[in-house]
Amino acid sequence: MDVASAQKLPAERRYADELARLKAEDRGPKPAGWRLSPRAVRRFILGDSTLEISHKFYGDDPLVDRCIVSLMGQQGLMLVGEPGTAKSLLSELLAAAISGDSLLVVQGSAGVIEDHLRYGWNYALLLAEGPSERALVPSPVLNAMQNGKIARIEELTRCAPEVQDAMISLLSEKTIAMPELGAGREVRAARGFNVIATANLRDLGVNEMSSALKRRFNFETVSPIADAAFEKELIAKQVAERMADYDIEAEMPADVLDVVVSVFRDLRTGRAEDGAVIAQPKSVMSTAEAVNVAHAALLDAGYLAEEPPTGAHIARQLRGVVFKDDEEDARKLRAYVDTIARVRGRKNRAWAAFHKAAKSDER
Amino acid sequence: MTGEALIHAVRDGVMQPEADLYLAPVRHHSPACAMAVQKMIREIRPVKVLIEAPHDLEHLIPHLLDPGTVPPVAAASLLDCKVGPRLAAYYPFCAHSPEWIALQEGAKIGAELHFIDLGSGVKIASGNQKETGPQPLVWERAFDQGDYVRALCQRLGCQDGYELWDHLFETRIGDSDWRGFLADVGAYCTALRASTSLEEIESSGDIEREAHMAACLRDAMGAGPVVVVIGGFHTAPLLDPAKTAGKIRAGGQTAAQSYLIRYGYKELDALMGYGAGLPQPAYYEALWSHAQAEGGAPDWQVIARDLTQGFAKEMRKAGHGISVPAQIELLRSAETLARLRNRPGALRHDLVDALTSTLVKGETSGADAWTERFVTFLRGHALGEVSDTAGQPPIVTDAYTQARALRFDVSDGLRRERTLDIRRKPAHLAASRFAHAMILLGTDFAMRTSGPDFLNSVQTGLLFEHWDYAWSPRVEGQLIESAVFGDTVPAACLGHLARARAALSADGRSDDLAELLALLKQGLLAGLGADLSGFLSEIESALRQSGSFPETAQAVCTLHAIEASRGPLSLPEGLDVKGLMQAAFQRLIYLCDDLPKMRKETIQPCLDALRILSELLSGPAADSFETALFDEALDRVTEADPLPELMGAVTAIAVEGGRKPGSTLSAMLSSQFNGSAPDVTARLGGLRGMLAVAPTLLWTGDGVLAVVDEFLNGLTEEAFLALLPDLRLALSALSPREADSVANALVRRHGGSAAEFTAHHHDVSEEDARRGAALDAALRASIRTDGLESWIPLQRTGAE
Repeated sequence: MDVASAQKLPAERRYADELARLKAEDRGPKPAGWRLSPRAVRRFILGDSTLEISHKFYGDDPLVDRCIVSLMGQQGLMLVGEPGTAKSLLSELLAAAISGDSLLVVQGSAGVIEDHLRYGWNYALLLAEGPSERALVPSPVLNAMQNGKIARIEELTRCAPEVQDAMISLLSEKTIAMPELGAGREVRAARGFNVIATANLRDLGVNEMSSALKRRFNFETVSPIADAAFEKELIAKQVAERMADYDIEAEMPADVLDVVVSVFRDLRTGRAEDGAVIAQPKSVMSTAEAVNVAHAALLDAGYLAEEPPTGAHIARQLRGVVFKDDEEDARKLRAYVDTIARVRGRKNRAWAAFHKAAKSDER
Repeated sequence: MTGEALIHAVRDGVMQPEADLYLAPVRHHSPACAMAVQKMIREIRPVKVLIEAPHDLEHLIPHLLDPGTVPPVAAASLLDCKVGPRLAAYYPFCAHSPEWIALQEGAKIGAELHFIDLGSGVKIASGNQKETGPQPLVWERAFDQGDYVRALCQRLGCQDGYELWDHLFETRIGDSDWRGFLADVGAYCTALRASTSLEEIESSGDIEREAHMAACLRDAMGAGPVVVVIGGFHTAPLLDPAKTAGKIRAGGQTAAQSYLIRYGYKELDALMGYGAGLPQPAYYEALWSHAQAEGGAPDWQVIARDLTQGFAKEMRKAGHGISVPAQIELLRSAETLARLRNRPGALRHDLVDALTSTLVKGETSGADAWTERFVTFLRGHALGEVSDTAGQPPIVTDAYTQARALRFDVSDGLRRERTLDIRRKPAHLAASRFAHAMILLGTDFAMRTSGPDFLNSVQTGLLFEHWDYAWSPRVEGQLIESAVFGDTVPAACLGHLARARAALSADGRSDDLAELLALLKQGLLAGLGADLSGFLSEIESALRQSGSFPETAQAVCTLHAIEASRGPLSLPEGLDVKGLMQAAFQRLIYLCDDLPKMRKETIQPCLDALRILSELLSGPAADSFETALFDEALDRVTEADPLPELMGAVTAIAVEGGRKPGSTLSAMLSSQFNGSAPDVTARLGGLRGMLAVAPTLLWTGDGVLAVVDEFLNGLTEEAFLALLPDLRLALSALSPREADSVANALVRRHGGSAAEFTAHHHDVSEEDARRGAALDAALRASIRTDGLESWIPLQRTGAE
């Protein structure tokens, strides 16, 4: 693949320089199969100014410690939490730092069958030669086991229960039997193998996890960022990173950024800074979505309107990016605009523009 | 000197061998600091040990050193204010407090021990603390705030100031280089102080306190080595005591009284509202005892294993078993986390983090069950012990001894349940009385969760009382606050009752019989028994002055209930409730003569009182009172030409009691009905009075129903309608069952069935009725044309 034009590179390629620097400096003891020592993994994720390592996962440092420690043990790591809290990012970063490979991923869905976790067959070869190692198509998990790497399973709870159950023996025995290749044939996991799964436990329509499976995972909850000032800084940074790829000069004014952060925090927590109670929409009001909205608003202002971004651009993007055709959520946003935004608009230009645009958008 | 230079000066200046001055900057309840202080005193062998604690608590030092005193304990200091409530403050010590260790070690080598802070009275009174509550012995600026702490946390990867402290200092527990350790604590605290604004330091009163402490140091120096145990924040100003003290004189009078009380770990937890020290004391106690056993740095793995096993054991007992693999994973996680975080072993935060990883399956939130259980376990529930010889207020000793004698488990601060068989087991009754007494004293010792409520006369027939109880420092504090009323629990209870009575007088309600009797009941439940006789005479004098017939009647009933009670309220020897009851009865007879003078507005309560009295005197209490007196009094009322209502009531009582023939009542009613009172409603008075006291007479009384019926039949439609509201009001005294009886009696009189007298309500307009009738006629015609006439029920007419 042409690296320069790829939309998004895997973490180990994106941060190849940082990983190289860390490896060069790494003196700490390494668990078997790990490319970096646990402390270096921590530095990779939480940043280190002396080695110019960027801070990649924000808001909960002890969580990162616990994740690393879990992966050093026998248990798998299960990251749970609301959508948009950077569970997948954390899982990718951990895999990239520990195994140097974040691509051994199974994306959980209703369509996933046991073969996706174990192995499948190249049916042409299977028919021609019968079961043979050549005809066997290993799953990312099997690959990870053979090479002592981290396998990632996204949205595990979206898989059918029987598929989830396949994980149980895999995690406790750390082996996959291959009876087709002959009695006693199996692949035993090389040291360094472990599994990071992500799941959203609150979403409706997901499959309940069996307690037998739960027992084989250490659970870690990834929460939305609690500190408002910090969230603002983070959004500004991420938007700036994204805008670097575009050929327009666009910067988010501080007051407009304030509007983005406040709208998302207020609607996420159901409480305004002054304590006023706000109806919470069902839509995901995560930091990631806030970045999306701010990003889209900048593009709107820069490419279409050709004017400096204001609260009005935020208002226009909010509906499309966040409130995806839910009548009830639209009503809650309307109430928010009519009460909170209107009052704030009397004192602040960015809020006033936000309020006006949101009102005209309704019509 | 400021900034970095000051921090270096502190680091270099805490040990001044040339001046024989050795400062020990500490953090409250820190085992690492306690260990350093221990080593310091053993090595320096000072002649004096000065400790930052209010100087007026010094008289408690011998009791603190008594072998019978087991920490956690606290010095409770009480300050009487001219206005507002009594203020109290607690200065706690636990086994791993540097101050406690300084006292113990100092005493061992025979050093002079002194407390050097300003008096506790000054601190209590100056505090913004309007409410009473625990106050730290060593005042600490929060170790959890400020740019300095935040920056350090970020650099070292700590979650908060507590973890930072553990990481920097508790990890060094047992370090043989106690000099370096204490110098570092001093430097660290000085850095914290540097990030605090001067206004904040001044407004907290620290400047005066530091001047006082410096004066104490200045006076103590010169006679040999002096060790000073102080909060780390005060290190810098005390480096040169003479300069800081100036001409200030140490000591002085204090208005506060102080005692030693048992203290608990729950109250000691810094995160439970107590302003200083470290959270979860049981964890630090484990740290301390392991380090003590080793005589130096502890084996961290053993601590983590002991704590994990202890927790698993406690959970298994509570029915939340933790599997062995889960325990192993917990330990492995904790150890690995500690290694990742560059620590010698798993600290509190590592253990909690490991627990979160291992045991919590699912999303965590603020109040996760496992984390909560673990935190409670690390907090512990130990309760101290105060030596018998200590200057503990006698009331606390009395209550504690009684609680133990009555088999309440007060060995720790846990809340327990107890069921008391109060009617059959005298020991249980005694325990119940003690619990009631503790309630009367306003302590939080016990709470009755179910069982008979004698105070409000609810479910008084129940056999068992269920209680929730726990002995806590709060209880001791509340007892001490009650100590002004008396030295024993019963004495203080009497004092409380006297105060309640005084409060009633102050409100101008000194003759409020209902309140006074409620207090009497409380006293009886608390087992005050014969001691209440003084209180009885007060009630008697209130009774003698009582001018209210209904209140006095109620008092007679209540007193009779108490007198007749055989349960927990039952009377002890020597308490003359009988006499009081007779006095109330006599007063009642006297007040009967006021009845004819009653005005119409006040008559209803009197009628109600007559009803309960007639029920009482004709029933259970017939033998207790001279009922003839009551009858005579009522006869006098009859003769005095009272209001028709009263006339009806007293006549009804007389007839019901068989003292007058039934015809008297009907004759009385008839004369009222047929009288010439222009207002028809006034003629109903007698009936109203009768219904209020003896409703059954309406249908059982001789000729009563006939008289009423005739009167109503004889009324014109107009007069009946005018009378109807009053009539309904009067008849509302009847219960539904009684109303049925009346209906049946009327049916017997007029013939027919009761159903016919039942009124049917239909909200039918004239138009609806007309349309309905037309429809009915059309239907009938249609059925008739179909030859189905026999299907149509006969239309009933008249009385058929």
